[in-house]
Amino acid sequence: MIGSVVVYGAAETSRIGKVPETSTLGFHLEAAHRALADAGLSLKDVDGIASVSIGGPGPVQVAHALGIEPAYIDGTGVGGSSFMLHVRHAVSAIRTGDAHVVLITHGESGRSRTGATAWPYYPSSMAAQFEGVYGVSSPASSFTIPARRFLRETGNTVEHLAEVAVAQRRWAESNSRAMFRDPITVDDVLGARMITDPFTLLMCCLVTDGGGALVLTSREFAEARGSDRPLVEVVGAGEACETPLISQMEDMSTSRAFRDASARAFAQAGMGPSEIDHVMIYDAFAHVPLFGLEDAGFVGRGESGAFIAEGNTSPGGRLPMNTNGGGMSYTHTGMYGMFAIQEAVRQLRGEAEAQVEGVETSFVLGNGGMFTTAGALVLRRSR
Amino acid sequence: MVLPQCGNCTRFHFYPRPYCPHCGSSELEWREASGEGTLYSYTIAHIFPGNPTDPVILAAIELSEGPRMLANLVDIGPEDPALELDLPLSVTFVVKEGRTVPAFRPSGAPGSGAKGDRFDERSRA
Repeated sequence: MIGSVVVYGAAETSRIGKVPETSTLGFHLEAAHRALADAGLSLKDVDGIASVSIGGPGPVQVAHALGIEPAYIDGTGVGGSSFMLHVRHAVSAIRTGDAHVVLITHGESGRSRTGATAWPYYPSSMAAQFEGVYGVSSPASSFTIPARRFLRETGNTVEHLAEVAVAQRRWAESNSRAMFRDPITVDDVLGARMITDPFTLLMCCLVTDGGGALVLTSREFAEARGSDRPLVEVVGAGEACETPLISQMEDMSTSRAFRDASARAFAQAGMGPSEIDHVMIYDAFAHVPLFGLEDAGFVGRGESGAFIAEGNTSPGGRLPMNTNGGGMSYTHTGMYGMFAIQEAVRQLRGEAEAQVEGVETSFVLGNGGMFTTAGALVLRRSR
Repeated sequence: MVLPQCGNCTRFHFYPRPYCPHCGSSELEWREASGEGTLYSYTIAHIFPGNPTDPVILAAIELSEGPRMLANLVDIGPEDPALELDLPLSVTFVVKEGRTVPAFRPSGAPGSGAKGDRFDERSRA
């Protein structure tokens, strides 16, 4: 059995944001080539593929377009957390020898819709029958439904939702690739256009174009090939799912998927939240990082809002969170999880634009759907 | 209003499915339900495709039999001070997109009936 598995290559596409000339598949391919170049590997080294974007293309199209013949294929598509699951599955495959070098790709022309499949909406689907008929037509009108119950049960406030957006914008100010970089205040956020009450526009994620890719392999392989950069070890990973319909969450003040995936990742790592230097929590909407901080155990129940408002997750704080600016300020193609992992890898390598000093460990929590799935990773800088 | 109830463990569930999610039994029966519930959580959608102007309340309702479901609220608007979590609600039925679907109104409001005032066989389908 292989011991440890590392992120050997990682890269986003050269451009993110508004890039209408590149298709969804094009983002996959550019990201794949850039991640392989980052690792110093070639297509011939790859024997495993994992890919997803909303509505495709998946691993078969990406492998074929790249010109690789994978012996390991992962098409797990469970929303924006899919990439955390891809990493987890790749770790297992590499440990057992089913694969040696796994390429994980994402691309999405989420904003420009170039070469992008339309969001499928079938009248016979569960979402259409049990949510769509009432006017639920987008993540903004579904994902936000639990927020009022969450605020009621935990004592967090609407102002705390605004603090999430403000804190993340502080990181984006230092990030040249972030779409929104101008400082904002709580009043700015609360006064922005109402989308789905109590969520204003600035509490909602962006919709952008872009892609990213990761190359995973064994430490033995990476060390044999050599690298002048720190290796990032995957020391723990967890996955979980709860419900395909937001109304069926067993308790809207906490995400079971977040709790379970996080606990599994920490258990595998043999670590706890107090040993984590840096956090990425999927932020499709402003309440999600509040859920994440509480459900993963970084703070107690009801403490997440004050924790953020006091600056603990902002630049200079003791638990830097969403240091690229997150889905609300940096980028969100529709499946943000890949970008959360990319920023964690950059911080662990010491390569981030808003670099935090001395990041040895990072925790990444991905959400899929609307509290539908979760994937969690504990990453460690290994040299 | 009817809900699936398990003949084995006696618990209700919603959405309908062929096996009880609590015990796995396939002995399911549609049972007359009370039509009563409370407002568990909600959002007010100000814009979305197909309805860009009128704010709509998207509500998660906890039925007194236990299951939760999504529906719209009627006879109460987004600005109504009575719109608060845990508000007691009663079912009614409305036609949306050519389908008869449940909606909920504050309990005690005129026209609210325990079994739904416009219930008919077609809404079982």
